[in-house]
Amino acid sequence: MKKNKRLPFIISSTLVGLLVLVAVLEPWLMPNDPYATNIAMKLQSYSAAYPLGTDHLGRCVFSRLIAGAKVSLLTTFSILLVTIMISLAVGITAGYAGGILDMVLMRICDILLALPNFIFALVIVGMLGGGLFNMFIGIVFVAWVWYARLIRNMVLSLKEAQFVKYAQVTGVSRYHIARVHILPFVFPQILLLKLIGLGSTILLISELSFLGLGVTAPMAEWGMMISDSKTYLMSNPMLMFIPGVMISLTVLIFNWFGDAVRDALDPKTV
Amino acid sequence: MGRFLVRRIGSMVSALWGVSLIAFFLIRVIPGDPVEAYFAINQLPASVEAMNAIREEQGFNKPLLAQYASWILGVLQLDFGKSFSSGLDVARSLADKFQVTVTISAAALIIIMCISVSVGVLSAVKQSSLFDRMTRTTVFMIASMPSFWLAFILVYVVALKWGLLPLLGWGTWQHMILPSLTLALGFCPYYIRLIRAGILEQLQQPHVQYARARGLKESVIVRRYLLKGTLPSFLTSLAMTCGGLLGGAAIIEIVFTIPGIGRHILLAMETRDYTVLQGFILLIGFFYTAINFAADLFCAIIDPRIRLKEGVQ
Repeated sequence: MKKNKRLPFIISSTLVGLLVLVAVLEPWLMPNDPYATNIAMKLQSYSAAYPLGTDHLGRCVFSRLIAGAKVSLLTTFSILLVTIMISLAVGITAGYAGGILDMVLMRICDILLALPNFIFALVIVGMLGGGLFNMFIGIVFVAWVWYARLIRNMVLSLKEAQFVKYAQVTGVSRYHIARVHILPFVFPQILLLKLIGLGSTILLISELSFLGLGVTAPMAEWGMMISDSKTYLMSNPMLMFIPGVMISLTVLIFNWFGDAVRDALDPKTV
Repeated sequence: MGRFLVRRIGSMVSALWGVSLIAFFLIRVIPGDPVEAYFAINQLPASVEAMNAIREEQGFNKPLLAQYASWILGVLQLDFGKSFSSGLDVARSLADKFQVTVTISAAALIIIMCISVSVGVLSAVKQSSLFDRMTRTTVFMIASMPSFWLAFILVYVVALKWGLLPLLGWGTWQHMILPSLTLALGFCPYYIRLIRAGILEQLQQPHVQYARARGLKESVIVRRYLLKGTLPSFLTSLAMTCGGLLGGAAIIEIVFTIPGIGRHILLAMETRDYTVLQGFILLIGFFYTAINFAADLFCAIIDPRIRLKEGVQ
């Protein structure tokens, strides 16, 4: 049984490691400059110089794929980090402080949750004017809410736990209780949920980039590569196919990794 | 039941009021001037006097609170104002575009229900069979694909290679098949898993085992016991999906060049058309909360535990 769970975890974490390695070793893995245009060489098929051919501006598709890995992973991980911090701060404050502060924070969450995530992010990013940083802001603005509410509910039940009550009786400060007794309980569960959600963040980034709201023009990003190649769907379908396979594979690996971590930690589900 | 209704309607109205505040103030806090955008896009000579004249005419120079008050009072009388860039009535143009988007979303919703209920039930009842294992792998793969990419692949194979369906555009029922199918496929994995897990859990329940012991036919057990037990959770999350469906439809519309809400909103953001954006956000918020409300109501009706628990509070 135990072996059964360990195998998917080992394989998927190796694959995640490989992806990260590709993003880190980016400059050494690219056979060509991903931004060098060469109209004479546009829409070329596979060759030794261009392993996956060239796009409509004669840029090396393979190099752009690798450059795109870095953009996707870096953005995804920074979104993960910042949303976790915001939702932990809001959730623990609301749950532990209670009273008016809790009510106000939860009303704000209610309002933000009354709008569907994607549309809300779309409007914010669109109004900010696109670009990598604005996309980051838009996604973070929307993504923390649901987790903050979840954390708040977790904290509410933790507050009743014996060890928290005992800590209160001994007279340590509320900040200390929140940091030492509540955070260590809440953090792993939220991290796990966020890990499971990593794949959908990558999809969201590619969707916004596809709409032209993500990274700006010359930068290589998979969603944008698909958008760029849509005029060549008839003549060069591979140009569209390859970046999509890259996105799907990355999301697949992260989804698998999230599931494997959950199964490895939680003895209930198999 | 009465108290349940009052509470839910109260929280819905307050959330919608909050949404109207967000819709109005958030898009104004974000830098970018609609009048400057208007002059730039129409390539008009941007003199200060001309711009100020338009600001005066549109009421942009009034205090924000006064602008908000006049907007919200209009909205309460179902007057969403006029688009700043096109001069069209916002309510009417949004309704036109929404009609298209909602048609696609509704068709997708029906496809989602058909696929996920049938596949979910089958793979749960025949747990660990070849069908179940194949479904799980397929579902896992589809869940990882970006919808807009899947749309292009389907266009390429079905419309370009096989020539079965019209390529792009909007008009006949054939134009609806690919967009709603792509939209639905993105959501199916989640629901297939949800229903499969729900039914597997139900299978362990005493009342299902008793039904089986009584010798009821498998189809009767599935319909009368298993499906009914998973319905509440299915419906609630289906309602939450509706917002995602509208958002997903916006992207799919752009792939298939369908004149729906997606392109309309991208254009409104480019021109910083405040009245259109405000109206859009508020309408989406209304739609979303109303559907969630309906789902809650339905669950309370079919599941007395929810209704009674709420009543006691």
